[in-house]
Amino acid sequence: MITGISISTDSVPGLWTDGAFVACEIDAAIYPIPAALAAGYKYTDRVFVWIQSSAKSHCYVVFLRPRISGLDLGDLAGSYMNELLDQTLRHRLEGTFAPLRTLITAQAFSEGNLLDVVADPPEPR
Amino acid sequence: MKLLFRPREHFERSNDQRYDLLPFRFMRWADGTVLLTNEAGEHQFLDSASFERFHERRLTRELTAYKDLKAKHFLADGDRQLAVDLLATKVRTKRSFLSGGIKLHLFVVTLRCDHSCAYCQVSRVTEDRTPFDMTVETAGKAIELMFRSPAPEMKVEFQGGEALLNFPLVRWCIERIETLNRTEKRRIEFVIATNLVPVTHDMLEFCRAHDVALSTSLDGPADVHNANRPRAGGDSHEQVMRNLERARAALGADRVSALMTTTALTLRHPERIVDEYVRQGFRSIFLRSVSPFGFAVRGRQTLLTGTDEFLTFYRAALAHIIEINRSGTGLVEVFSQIVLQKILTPFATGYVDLQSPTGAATSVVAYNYDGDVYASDEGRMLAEMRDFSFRLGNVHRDSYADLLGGPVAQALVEASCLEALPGCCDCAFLPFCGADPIFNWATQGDPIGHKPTSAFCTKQMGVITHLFNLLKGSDAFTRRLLVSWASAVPIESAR
Repeated sequence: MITGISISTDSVPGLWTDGAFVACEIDAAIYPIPAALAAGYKYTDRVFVWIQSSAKSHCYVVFLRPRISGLDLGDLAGSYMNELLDQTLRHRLEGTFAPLRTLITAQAFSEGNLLDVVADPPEPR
Repeated sequence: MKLLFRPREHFERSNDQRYDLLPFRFMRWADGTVLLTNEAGEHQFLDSASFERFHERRLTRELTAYKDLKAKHFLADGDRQLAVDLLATKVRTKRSFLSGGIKLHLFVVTLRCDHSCAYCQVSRVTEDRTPFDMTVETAGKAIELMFRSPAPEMKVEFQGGEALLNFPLVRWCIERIETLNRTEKRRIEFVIATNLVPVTHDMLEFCRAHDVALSTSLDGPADVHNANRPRAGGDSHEQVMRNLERARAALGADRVSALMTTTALTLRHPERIVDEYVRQGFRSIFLRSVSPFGFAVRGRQTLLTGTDEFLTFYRAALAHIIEINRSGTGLVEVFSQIVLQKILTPFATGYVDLQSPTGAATSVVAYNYDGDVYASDEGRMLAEMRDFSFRLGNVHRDSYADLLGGPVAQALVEASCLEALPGCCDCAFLPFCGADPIFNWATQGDPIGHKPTSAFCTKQMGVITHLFNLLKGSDAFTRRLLVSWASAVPIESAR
């Protein structure tokens, strides 16, 4: 249970505010936590970000509290959620790309051919 | 009948056969398009719907976008291993700056200076304090270390204070390096950074005989320049103008370049500063913001520019430069040129301040007057503020391996590989950007830095975004001009 705020469990998609901050309850099965962390990092120039587990299983809650005055909390939450979408896509793509990036970098700076060691074996030392 | 060629269908894969995605990063653009970049620095804009189809592997092959993405190695629909191999070759070319070791050797031959520039990045001392001169013994040790670098091409830059106030040592260094280079056989370029005031006929003759280039400071027209660069008599601009002519006559116009520094005092004069460069016959200008080091920080209330203010200045100055080119006078903005080379060509730039990992201690070192070796000029400036975090060692005590394989150098590299840094690793501008851990340390107390509030990140993002907007949305002349800067060809040949 999150202390200090009243959570309406039937609200969808799960946005609350007390005027000073906005909280978003997020389904980890749709938006993985690393994506929420990456999105949150991008907002740290504008807001204080706090992420913690939700009382609901498989969910977590992102709290955003503006560091500067004049930010509309609804706009802030909406823009964070859009960023979360992009970060989720990046997270998904990176799962495929990470080993490829490593292979490309290794091949770029390798003296031999890492892609086809049978056709192009390394020279004997 | 023997089949000489396989039928067309053999080479065609049906549209429902999926392609492989190759690694890319993306960024949404203000006009609704999406910018994609890859490891080799290729880029492609897609409209939002095409981007969704692309990453869901639903883009059809007859589309121009598909062909562009394939040609630039964002996708592979045939032999993926071949695509990876080609991409690796491009990456090797783009990162060629990593090979060869230290290429830029900065010799701080004195801290003495006749100017009292309020923004001085060197924390100069007055003219008569010779304890702040580098000795022959120290210079000799620095030269020995310099030749331990395996780089076949090296640049040696003499700095100060005012380097010409210790000209006997500059002369000794150049002659010593030339002597050693008879057996070393490197290609070595010499540059003296000077305010030009102390330059004499003999100095210019020596520079001509030894093919030494001069790099001076010109901050704008007289009122702007003299406000930024005060000296006794208040005549810095007049002195620069007089000696600029003499230097050009002795060395040739192309052997004397100038740099400007943007401070809070000069932000209101972008057009006048550019016009002054044109009036003085320069073919290039480098729009630089003041660095947060040395005296600039001590007087930061009045001199440091806000990043947004600098970007406003940069955009206005660049717009004016483009119009000057349109009117028939060639003038290149050098920082834009460096970034455009990264965006539009497959090659690496030699610019050490915008590399990943950082150029500090991988491409450049600074030998201070007292023998201390720093990872870069900025590391040395911090030391003048009593922060020795980026001191690699000392020429009298440490070996090349100790200096460049030591904990400071390792920490710098570790903190400056963009691919592993928060806020940078997923940024589409990564291939065009670089890391500056010393700036981050100086401004945020952390070599990695906090990107959302980093002035360095804000400036780079602003410049790169502006250049992409010009490439995307400006008139044909502007696009050709920017391409000509990137490829260093006349605008008539740029495509």
